[in-house]
Amino acid sequence: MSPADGAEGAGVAQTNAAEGTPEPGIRVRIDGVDYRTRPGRNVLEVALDHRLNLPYFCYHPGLGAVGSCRLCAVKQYKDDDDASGRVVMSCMTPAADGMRISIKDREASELRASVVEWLMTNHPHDCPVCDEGGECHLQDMTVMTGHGHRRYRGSKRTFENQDLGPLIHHEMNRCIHCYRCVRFYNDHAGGDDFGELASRNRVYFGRFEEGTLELPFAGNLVEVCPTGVFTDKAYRARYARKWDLQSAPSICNHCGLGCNTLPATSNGVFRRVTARYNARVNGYWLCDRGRFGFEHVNAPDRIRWESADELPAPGSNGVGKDAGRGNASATSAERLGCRPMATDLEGIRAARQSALRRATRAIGDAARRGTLAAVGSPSISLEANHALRRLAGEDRFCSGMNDVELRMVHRAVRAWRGTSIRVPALQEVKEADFILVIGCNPTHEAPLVDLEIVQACRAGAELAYADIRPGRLTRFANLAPILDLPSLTAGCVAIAEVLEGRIQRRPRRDPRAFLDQLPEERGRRVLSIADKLLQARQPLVIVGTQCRFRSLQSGVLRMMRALNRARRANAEDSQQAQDDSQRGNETPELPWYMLAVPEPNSVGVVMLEQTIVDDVAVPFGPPLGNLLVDIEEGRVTCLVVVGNDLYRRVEDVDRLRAALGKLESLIVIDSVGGEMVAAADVVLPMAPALEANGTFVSSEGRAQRYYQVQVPEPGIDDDWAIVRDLLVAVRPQSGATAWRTVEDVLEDLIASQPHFAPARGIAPPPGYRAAEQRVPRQTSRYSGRSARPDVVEARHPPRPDDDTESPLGFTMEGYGSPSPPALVPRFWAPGWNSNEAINQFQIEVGGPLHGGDPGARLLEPGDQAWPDVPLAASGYPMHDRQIYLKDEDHAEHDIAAAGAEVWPEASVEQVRLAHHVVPSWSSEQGPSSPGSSGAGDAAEGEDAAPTQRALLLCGMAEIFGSEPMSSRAAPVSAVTPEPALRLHPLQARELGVQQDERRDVSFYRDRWVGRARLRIDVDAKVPPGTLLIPAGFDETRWWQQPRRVRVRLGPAESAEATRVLPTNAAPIAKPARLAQQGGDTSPRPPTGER
Amino acid sequence: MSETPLTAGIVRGSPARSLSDYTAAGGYEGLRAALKMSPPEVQQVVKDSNLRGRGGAGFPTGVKWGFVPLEEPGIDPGRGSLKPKYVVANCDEMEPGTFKDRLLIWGDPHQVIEGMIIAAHAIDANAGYIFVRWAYQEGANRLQRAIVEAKAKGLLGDNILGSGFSFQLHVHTSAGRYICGEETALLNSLEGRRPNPRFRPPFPALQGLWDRPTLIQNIETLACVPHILANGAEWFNDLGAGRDAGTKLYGVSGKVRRPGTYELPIGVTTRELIEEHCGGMQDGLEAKATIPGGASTMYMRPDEFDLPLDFTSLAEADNRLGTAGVMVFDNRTCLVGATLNLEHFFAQESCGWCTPCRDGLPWVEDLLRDIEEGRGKAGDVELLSKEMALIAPNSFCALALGAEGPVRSVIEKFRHELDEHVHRGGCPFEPPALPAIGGAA
Repeated sequence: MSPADGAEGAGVAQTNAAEGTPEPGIRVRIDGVDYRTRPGRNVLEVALDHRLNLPYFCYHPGLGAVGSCRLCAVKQYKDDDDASGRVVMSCMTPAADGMRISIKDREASELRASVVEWLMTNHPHDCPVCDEGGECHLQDMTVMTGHGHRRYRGSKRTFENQDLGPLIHHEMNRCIHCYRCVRFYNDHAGGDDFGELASRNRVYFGRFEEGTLELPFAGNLVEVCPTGVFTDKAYRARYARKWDLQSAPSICNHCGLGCNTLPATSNGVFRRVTARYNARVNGYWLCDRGRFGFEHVNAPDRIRWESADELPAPGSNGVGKDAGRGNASATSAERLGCRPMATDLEGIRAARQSALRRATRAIGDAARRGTLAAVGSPSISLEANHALRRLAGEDRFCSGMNDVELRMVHRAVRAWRGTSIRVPALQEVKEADFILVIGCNPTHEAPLVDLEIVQACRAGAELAYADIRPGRLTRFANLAPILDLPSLTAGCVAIAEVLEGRIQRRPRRDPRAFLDQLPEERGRRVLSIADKLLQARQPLVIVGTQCRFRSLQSGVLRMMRALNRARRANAEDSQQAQDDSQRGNETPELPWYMLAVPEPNSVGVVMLEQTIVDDVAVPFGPPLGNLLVDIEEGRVTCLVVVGNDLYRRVEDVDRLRAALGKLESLIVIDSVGGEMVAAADVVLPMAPALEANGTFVSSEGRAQRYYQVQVPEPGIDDDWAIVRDLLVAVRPQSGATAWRTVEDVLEDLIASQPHFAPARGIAPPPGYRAAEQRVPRQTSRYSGRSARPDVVEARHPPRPDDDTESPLGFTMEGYGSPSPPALVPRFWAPGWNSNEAINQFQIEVGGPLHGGDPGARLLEPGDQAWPDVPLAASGYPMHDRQIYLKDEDHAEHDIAAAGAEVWPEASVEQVRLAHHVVPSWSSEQGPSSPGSSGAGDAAEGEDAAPTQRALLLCGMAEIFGSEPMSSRAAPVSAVTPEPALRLHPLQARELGVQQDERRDVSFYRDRWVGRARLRIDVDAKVPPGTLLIPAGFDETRWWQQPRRVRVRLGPAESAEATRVLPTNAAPIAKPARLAQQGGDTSPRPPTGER
Repeated sequence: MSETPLTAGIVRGSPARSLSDYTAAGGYEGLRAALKMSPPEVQQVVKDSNLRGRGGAGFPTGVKWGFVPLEEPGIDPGRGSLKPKYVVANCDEMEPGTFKDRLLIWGDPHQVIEGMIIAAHAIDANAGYIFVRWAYQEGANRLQRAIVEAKAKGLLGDNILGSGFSFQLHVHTSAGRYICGEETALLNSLEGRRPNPRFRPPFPALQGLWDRPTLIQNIETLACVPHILANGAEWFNDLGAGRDAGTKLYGVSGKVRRPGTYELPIGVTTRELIEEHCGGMQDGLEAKATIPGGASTMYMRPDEFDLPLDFTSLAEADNRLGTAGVMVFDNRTCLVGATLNLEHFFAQESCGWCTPCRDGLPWVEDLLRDIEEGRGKAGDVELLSKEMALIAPNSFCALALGAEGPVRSVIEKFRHELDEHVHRGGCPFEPPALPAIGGAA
């Protein structure tokens, strides 16, 4: 591929059609030159589309035009004869064909300069100490208008600032009242704890009283604010000017949405993350977890090589348990100052060689005996997972996901691939006109989906929000039933029943009779949702994986299939009715289906693991549960785990610990320390995504490339490169010796799995050069001198690193702009120093990037039949039909039960009997009979809690706290709520607990027990019979899927453990966690509705 | 047929005219007449009467009614009530120097209510709001009582007078900002939002309150309507003295002998108003200037005192009738100080939405204060003039345009006073002896 090809191939997205000149639309004459545009654009957009420097403040492509700042004034003339014209605001003037406009007109220019002069009457001239300096839209626009002389001699008005929490810093005096903040926070995102207060030139943008901003998208205020009112508090703490930041395009690794980011580093320390515009994915936005959660890279417990002194003595490099551990380990060095330069490069190289040798020996040995297995991760690159799969073999590679989650993603990917439902791009969500969110809280599981659902609702879409807890989106919902998981499932199946009745034109039986089995209100809801799904122009169904409830997803998929057929039948009917009137063919839009996945590569690793049999994708490798059994039974003796904390994937951590202990060798490749590293025989430190190149496949099925932002410490490699080194050593014939870059690995993957072929074009090849130069990671003004304490070192900087793997360079040398979109290292253009420079990278303002938005979709709908072939052709049978809620034939039975309760255990238990899929939590105790689940469970023995009946223990994702990597970041943990047990007042009475007590709670099921110290949160909105705990917290990492449990409470809370809190106090202080963080930040309100 | 139809039934200092007194004097006859007509016919009568909006802009009322779509395409007539239209009466009256609507709602609320019902019938609206200035709580109470009275007699509510037409009327008290009188800001305020003006188009006639077609009229305009319907368009036309139709409430303030609100044929001259109706200036004082229509109009010099005070004549003289709140300034009053006072009001009442008004007007105020307090410099007047000319036409709504009136006209017509301030380094006038707050009226 030639460099030119690379440039074109850089964006094989759907946007190619938009590239180049828009189709002949209308012409607007600006200062004597005709510009083409299309109807619906305003004059400001036309000017910016064509790179005319027309200043503006309040306009923002993501927020629209409101005409408040009056800066974008232009002269509009009636016709060619009109000599005087009149000044209009270009953002409020729709472009019209033949329109005559002047930007250069003296009157308009004077007004623009005056607007800045008016704003400057109050704006403090504190640029040298302002965080925004150097990337300030106000600075840029002031220069652009030419205002330079100050005539106002009065005093400036001043404000008091507010403490808005640990994420956002507030400096109101700098405000120029563009109203962008409230337009984002309140209008766009639907926040309600922030606003504009007071009037005249004393309008105040803030909260009614000080406190942490509740919206989990508050970080975007930093980017929409054109000046330094809202700045990034974490960035402030280790500030560097924008021109001193080294940055490269990356992909957020804190959930599955694949938001494009621009992480920035200086002097070896990551400073901040900002949004990288992508018109298909995240647009202009990021959530606060993505923006503030990057600090695991700076974390003190990063694994690094220690000095040569600590190397094991030569000869002691055996494979046994006690040998050679600890040559790479987590250090507690405080790394927040400056990256310590490794001096002992030789020692590190030797240590790494030694570790690799030992790993190779162990792996080779086990491979020969057939007892090797590998666990990949949905958090590492596609390439590393592929290399690992090559290393261990297809049937010995486990994706490393929790078993339930794995199955849920499998089913979704299979449904998206080639069949008639489509997964929408994130930015398409707002085009839906009916959205059903079920068993999912997007705010916490896939935060930016929440933001886009709000956009859909603002555009008039109806939202039905059905989950086990109320959430932020409840406010926007037309219908918000909060039910337990079995009832939600029953609802799905009921909707499917109704839709299937439509398909058959004549219902199998009276739908009323069938709905009568549901409570009346629920029956009405079912009919109403079914009707809306059917009638909507573009229905969208969003399901979560974090409910970990397979039958719910089965119900949803059945509903989707019925929906698709019913919509087609409906369209045919109406077409027949309209045949006389000769109406054109109207095929209904394919229904959209989204799955919120928790990790950046969940979909990628599942796609990787699927094998196509008879046109149907089936999973191949062993689920984690099976793998554990294999270890326990001695069929696996050597395990390679890459970037995966298995202690967060299984319920029974004791059993996991025992199993890992049984291994002859455990080889862990990871970036941060933890129990896995502690248990490992060989540890190889890998670079986290921010310091590596690789590919993630987002929940949309979009393959996206991320690039190394900075070079990690010596001896630390990309995940795929370490696995490659092992592969080369263990299997010299594998061809891996030729893998030099991620592209090489990707090609190898495509060769074996052609459905990854579209990923080939997601980024220019490593050899790509623009004007024979690299794309520089550093700015052309890089000095490295701003705001750093150690200027001495800056005078003698080390030799810059080479980049042999990407077209990006590590210096300021190179061809800065325009870069192919996948390589854009920052948004900057002459005269545009702030992130408003994004305008200069877009084909049209607010639209796709020049060259197409990066990434390629791997999953597109097609004509394939719905995959309801039994899944037998795999090494480890998944036996869907038995595991999941029964399809059509058996639905009636389930619905009959739905009025009461459909417990998932019944089917899981059946599976345990019939097949050897062993739930990971299970003990050696034989499976109980299917009938014995639920209330009539086996006796609990002496330990049994004094509860009368078992309760359904459900986990709930939290945007802050459930994702382990971001939880390592101080700003995120400062806003993480204290883990709480949420339960209905009925259960509270039953268990004898009070609001806000701290109790040690044990959850029993059979012999398994989960324990945590939790705050008690009594909430009448929680469905009765359901217990909610936050999932993924350190305290609750053992929660993996809904379980019917009996509860036992620890001894009555000691006096000092339970803090006396005012009744109904909204923000609950969280003493322990806060104290660890330095404690100067106010906490977020407890787990709940945000 | 009275020559002062609006105020004939008002007895100052008394409770509001009761429903029985109002009907005895011919009240609600206009409504009865209107209900016999179709909506377009009612609109035609109002058009023929040449009634112009009394809120300040003087827009022809009948024409405005015609902008409201009578039948919305695509709306099922059976479900029409789901797509309501609204009539909103603007009684925010916060324009300095203006106190006419107050008289009407205090003295004769039924007249206003009848006008609203007729207007609602004319555009086929079924709900209305009277938006009352926060300080007019007593007026709001009187309106509320009158609404109860009218409802009891079947004049308001469902099926008015058996005609099948229904109209629900509500009174809403403002939270109290000048900007709430701006019609689109008023709509935002009614909706419970921040009273920032809205961008036009869409105009309220098509997309107003809760995005539905809305007719917004000043209280005085609505008070004229029943009389037009009862007595005919021609009668109303004949009431005017000058080139506009009807009578007008002139509210005169300043050091005249008898300040107050006078209902006079529209088109009376300033001189007549001061000399004949207000009894001339107080002893030893001369009228130096007037502002004819509330704070946002231009100063007039004595040589303009023979100009008829109607919309058409004042527009030709580059001025506006506004609310016809005539402020009379005597020869001992400093016009720079007076202008500063007005600009302070405008700067303070800016809603803060657009830059010129929010940040420009405080600068204007600052410059005027410098001049008034002796810190003025050469070139300040030119700067003031230039800035005002940039601020006024380029702001979002008409507030800054109103603020321009006093500044531009004081510079044009009383430049010598400004210059004298700058040259002397202070104000040449004695400080005004202001009455104590809450003192004798």
